[in-house]
Amino acid sequence: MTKTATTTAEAPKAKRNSQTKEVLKRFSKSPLAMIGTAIFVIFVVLAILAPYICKYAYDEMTVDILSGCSLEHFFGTDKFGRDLFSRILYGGRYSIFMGVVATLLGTAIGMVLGAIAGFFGQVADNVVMRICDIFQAIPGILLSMVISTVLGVGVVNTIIALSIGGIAGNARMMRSLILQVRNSDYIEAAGSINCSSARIIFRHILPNTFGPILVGCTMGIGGTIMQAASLSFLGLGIKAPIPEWGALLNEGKDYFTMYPHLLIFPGLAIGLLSLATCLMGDGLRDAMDPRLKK
Amino acid sequence: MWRYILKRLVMMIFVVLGVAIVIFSIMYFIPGNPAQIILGSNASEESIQALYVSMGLDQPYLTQLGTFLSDTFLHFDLGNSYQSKIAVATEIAERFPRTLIIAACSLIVTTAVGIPLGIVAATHQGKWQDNVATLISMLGLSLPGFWLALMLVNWLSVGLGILPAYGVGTWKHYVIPIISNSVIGIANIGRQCRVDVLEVIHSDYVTTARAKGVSNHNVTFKHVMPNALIPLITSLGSVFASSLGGTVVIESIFVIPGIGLYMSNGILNLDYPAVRGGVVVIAIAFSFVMLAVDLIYAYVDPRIKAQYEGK
Repeated sequence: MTKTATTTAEAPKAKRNSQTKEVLKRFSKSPLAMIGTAIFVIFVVLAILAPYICKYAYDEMTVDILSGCSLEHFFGTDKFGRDLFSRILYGGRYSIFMGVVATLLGTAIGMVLGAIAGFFGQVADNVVMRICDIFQAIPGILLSMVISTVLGVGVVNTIIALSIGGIAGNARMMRSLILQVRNSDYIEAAGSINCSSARIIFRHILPNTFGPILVGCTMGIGGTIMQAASLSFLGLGIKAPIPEWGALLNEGKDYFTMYPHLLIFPGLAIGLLSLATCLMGDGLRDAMDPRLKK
Repeated sequence: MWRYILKRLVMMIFVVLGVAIVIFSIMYFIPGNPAQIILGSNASEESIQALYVSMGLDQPYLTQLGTFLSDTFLHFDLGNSYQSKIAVATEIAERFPRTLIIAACSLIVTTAVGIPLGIVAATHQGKWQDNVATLISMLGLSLPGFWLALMLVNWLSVGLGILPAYGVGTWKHYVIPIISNSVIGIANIGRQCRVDVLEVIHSDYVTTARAKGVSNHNVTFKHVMPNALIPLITSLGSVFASSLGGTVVIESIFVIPGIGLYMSNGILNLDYPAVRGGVVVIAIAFSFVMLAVDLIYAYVDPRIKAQYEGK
C-alpha cells in the first residue's frame, strides 16, 4: 500500500522531467533542427557582438560609395558609403528583437483570450471568437499598416502593430487546442477521480496545449520579421537611419537595378533567419510528436 | 443546410459591421490632418480649418461613426476619395478586378504546384524526392515575397528584358507579381498536403487496398488522394482570402492599380474613405470566400454536412 502511494506521488514529477529531456534529446538528434538552431544562435551572437566584429559603425560614411563586395567591405557599401555588412549585423538587433518580442506578445495575449474562450464557453466564447472573426477579416499587413500610422514609427510602436496582427490567429489556435484536450479521455479520467477544476486546468489541460503553441511561436518569428520588413519597406515601421532589414531593403530598392547587392544581402539575412526558425519549429514539432518516437 | 447558410449570412453582416467599426475607430486616432494634406503645405490656416469643418472631421467620434455606418450600410455609399474626389465605390469597382486576377491566378498556381509537390514528397517519404520537396517548401516559406519579386524583376526584366518591370497592360505584366505572390502559398500547401497524404497513406483502408493487389497508381489516385485533399480545401480557401488582402505589398512594388495599392496609398495620404471602403469590400469578399469554402467542404464530405444540419 505504502509502495503504491509513493509511486503515484512521484510518478508525475519523474515523468514530466523525462518528457522534457526526451523532447530535447530528440530535438538535438535531428540534424535539420540543429542547423536551424545554429543559424539562429549565430545571428543572435553576431547581432550582440556587432560592435566588436565590425570594422565600421553602422552609420559611418566612407569614401567608397556604392562599391561591390570586397575584403574591405564584405557586402559592399550603400549610397553614403556605409558598410552593408555592419548595417546588416546591427540591423539584426532590431529585426530579431522585434520579431521575437512581437511574436511572444501576440502569442501570450492570444493564449489568454483563447483560453478564456475555451474554458468559459458560451458567452465568453462567442464574444472572443466574433472579435477574432472581425480582426481576421481585415488583411493582416493592412491592419499593421494602419496601426503603425496611428502610433508612428519606432521600435516599440512597430512591435505593438505587429503583435496585434497575431492575436486573433493565436487565440483561435489556443481555443481549439483547449477544446481538443478537454474532450480527451485523460481529462475525463482526471475528473472521475475527483480532481479539482483548477488542477485539471493547470496540471492537465494547459501543459498539453503548450507544445503546439511553442511550435507555432517558433515558426511565427520568421513570419513576424518578414511582416516587420514589409512594413519598413513600405515606409512605415522602422525608418532610416536605423538599419532594420526592411529599412535596408527600402533604402536599396531605388538603386538595386545597378547595385543588386543592396537588396540581395538584407533579403538573404531575412530568408536565412526565417529558415532557421522554420527548421527549429519543425524539429520541435517532430520531437514532441509521440508517434515519431523511436 | 439552408438554415446553416442563413445563419452564416446573418453572422457575416455582424462581422462586416464590426470590421467597419474597428477600421473607423483605429483610423480616427491617426494623428495628422487630411485637410492639410489635400490643400498642401502652402494653404492658409483658415482654409485648412474651413475644409476640415466641411469634411465633418470636427464632429465628435460617435457622430462621425454614425454618419459613416449609415452611409455605408443604409445608403450603400462609401463616400468620395479625399485625394481624387472620385466615388470610392467607382474606384474600387474599377480596381478590384486587377486584384482579383492576381489572387485567382495565384490560387491556381499554388494549387497546380503545391499539391503535386506534397504528393510527391509523401509518396516518396524519406527519399531524395521528399528532401528536395521539403527544401523547396522551406525556401518558399522563408524568403520574403516582396524581396523575391524584386529579385525576379532584376533577373527577368532588367537582365533578360523579357517581362515588364511594373505597370499593367498585357498579361506579361502579371507574371512576376503572380509568381511572387504564390510562393508562400505553394510552400504552405505543399507542407500541408504532405502531412495529409501521409496521414491517409498509413490508414487501414489503404493497406487493405494494397493487400487486394490494387496498383500503386490506383491506390494513390483513387484511394489516397480524394481523402487527403479534403482538408486542403480549407487551406486553399485561406490562401485565396489572404492573397486578396496580401497583394498590398506586391501591388505597391509593381505599381498595379488594384485595391491593395489604393488602400496603401490611402493610408499614406490619410485618405480615410478610400481605406475604409477598401477594407469593408475586402472583408465582404473574405467572408464570402470563407462561406464558399465551408459549403464546398460540406459538399464533398458528408460527415461535415451532417454536422451542419444537426446544429
